[in-house]
Amino acid sequence: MTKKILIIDDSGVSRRMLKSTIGKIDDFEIIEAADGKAGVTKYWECRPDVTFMDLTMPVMDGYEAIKLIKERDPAAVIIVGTADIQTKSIQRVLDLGVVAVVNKPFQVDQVRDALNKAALI
Amino acid sequence: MDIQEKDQTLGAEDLEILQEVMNIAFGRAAADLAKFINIFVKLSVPHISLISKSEISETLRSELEGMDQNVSVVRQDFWGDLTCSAVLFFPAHTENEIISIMGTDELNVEFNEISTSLAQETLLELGNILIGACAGKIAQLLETNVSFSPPFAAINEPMGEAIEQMDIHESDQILSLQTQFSFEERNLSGLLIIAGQKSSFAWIKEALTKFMAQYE
Repeated sequence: MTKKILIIDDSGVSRRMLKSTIGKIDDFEIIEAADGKAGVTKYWECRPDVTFMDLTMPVMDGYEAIKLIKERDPAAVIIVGTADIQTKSIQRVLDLGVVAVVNKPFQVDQVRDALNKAALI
Repeated sequence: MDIQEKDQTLGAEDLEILQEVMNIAFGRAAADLAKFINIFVKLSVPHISLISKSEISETLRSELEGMDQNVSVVRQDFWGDLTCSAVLFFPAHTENEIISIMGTDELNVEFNEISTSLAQETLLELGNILIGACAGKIAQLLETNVSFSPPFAAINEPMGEAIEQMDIHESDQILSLQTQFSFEERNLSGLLIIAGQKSSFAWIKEALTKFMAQYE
């Protein structure tokens, strides 16, 4: 069965870049959401195998969305994809239990490594 | 076809791609600054728009609390394929907070008091890190090189004067790349505006197409 990846990012361009990068690695079913709040709703609807989460988003940011998902589903596999590469941001999301952090712009090797860590490939 | 004859119109998709480029570039700049000052820099979602020079003051007032008649600024122009005027705006009378954040208050001994020179030096340093890293990353992502003018800083000067100094023609439509930022546990927010000149639009369009081609 094709595995499901949920991409939560307010930028349509960023989602496009990530979808293209993931497509170069393997076949996955991709589901998208444009902010943290919509992403959390989508998470419960589709129960993805992995969620890629942006951090700086309107309506609800990535930190809040990760917390909400992890509170109800501690086993949720979340990878953060962000342009915010400050040490404190990275530490904060790792403390929230994400499996990997991928810097933007997305590169195939980085995304592949993150999916490996998530045991998806 | 000569670049002057090429399409100089930036469409919605171009602006959306530029927003992501700015997002990545400012993320780099904020990380550089955070490392230097050891304070977390909170970022906002960047905003990209096509505006006229006369609309900049309105943008400043609507985006940043405390922006009134006077502002403190650091400005630096850069040119090449991409010609822009970058300005970092802070509300007036925030120089003490800026000095404290940058840690240059230790230099008070040398300057005797929090003087205008110290505030200007500090703003120049802040601008150098943020504008340099941001413009440098944009240039890197769009595969070009830019040259920088020496930065200029002014404390508590009239907003109109600060905008007037930007290297933009009054009648031109400009590309405004704005990012608001603040510092954790500090009462200071600033706004970075990078104003791209219309003469760069055709090149920007081509560079964005090339940038996205790697993701097709």
